[in-house]
Amino acid sequence: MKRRSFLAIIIFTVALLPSLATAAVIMNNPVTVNTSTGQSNPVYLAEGPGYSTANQLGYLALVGNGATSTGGQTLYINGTPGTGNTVLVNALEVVNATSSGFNGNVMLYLNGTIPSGVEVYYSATPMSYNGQSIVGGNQLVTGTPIHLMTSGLYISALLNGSLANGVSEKITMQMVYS
Amino acid sequence: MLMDKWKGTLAILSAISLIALAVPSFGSVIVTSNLSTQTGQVMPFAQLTNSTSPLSSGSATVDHYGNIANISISGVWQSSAMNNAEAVNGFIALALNNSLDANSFVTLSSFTGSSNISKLAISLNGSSGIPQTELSYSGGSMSSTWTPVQFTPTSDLNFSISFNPAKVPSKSMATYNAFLSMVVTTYSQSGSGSVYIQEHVNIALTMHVFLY
Repeated sequence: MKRRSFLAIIIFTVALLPSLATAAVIMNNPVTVNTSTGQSNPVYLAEGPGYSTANQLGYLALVGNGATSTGGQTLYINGTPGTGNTVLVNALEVVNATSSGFNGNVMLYLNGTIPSGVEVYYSATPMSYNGQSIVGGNQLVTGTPIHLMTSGLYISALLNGSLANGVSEKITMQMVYS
Repeated sequence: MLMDKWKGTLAILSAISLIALAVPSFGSVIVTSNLSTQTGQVMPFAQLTNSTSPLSSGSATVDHYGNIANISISGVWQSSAMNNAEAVNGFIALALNNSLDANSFVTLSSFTGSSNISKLAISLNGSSGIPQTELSYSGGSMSSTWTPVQFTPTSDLNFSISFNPAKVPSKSMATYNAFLSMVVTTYSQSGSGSVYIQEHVNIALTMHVFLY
């Protein structure tokens, strides 16, 4: 008796399954995705207030527009032969052009290798040099996040006399907006 | 017992579902761009030359105890513009773009001398002739707060170095040695940006004083 009841339940369940399947409702809501490369970079590397002097003297050249560049930028850094130091104060700038409506966080990462003999300093306000060291800046450590809270960062560079000639390095600038 | 296990599994699944729902609220946009760096070398826009003026004068005085009281050496390091190539024989030469200006200052970074030198004064005067740096030398070390000496590219740099061996007994002849290590910094500025270059200069001085 028990076996019969059990079989009846199984048969009933199997018979019900097709009716459950046909009872499903499938909604098809198509989403169209368009891609474009027309958006400017909200954060990018650009010439700073000291760039003009450094460039005219042959110490620095930034090639490529960071705001619209898709192929990257190249930075040509020239030091002075010998044991002396060359200091480029506020020569570059990281521009934060995120819209005023963006209230999130911007984290900046510089990953890669800074050429040997180059020290990079950054600050939200212009830096200066007192004859011995760069004043008002933090030394950049690659891979360490920088919380971008202002409209930009000034970049200064100290080129040691040990700067090698003809060295090429790659750096990835990564911006995380959250 | 079996029921408890099912409850535990359901709790874990619920927690995972909540996390999955929460993740989109921490969504972020990551943008990367590539920066290539290439290094090179250029000639400095300010350059020290190896042809300085000869030491124009030296003097020593003897105090009323018969000791040597002061020794001084003075001279002029000439400054000349690079655009007059024939005149590049001074202490510092500049090759500047017409739209740029430059200034320089000198820092005395180290000094050693004869053990019988107790004090050394160095005066580096620009055209205004005001700034000076005076050093005290004792036990092989130097104490000083350096004073930048600023001068324009077209002015000469007058210097004067004075030894003051106050307790050296009088002799018929004494020799004094001093070794100066200086940093010459030249800079060009526009707005809040600037370029500085530094060059190191070492100067060895030997002074023989004859008393007769």
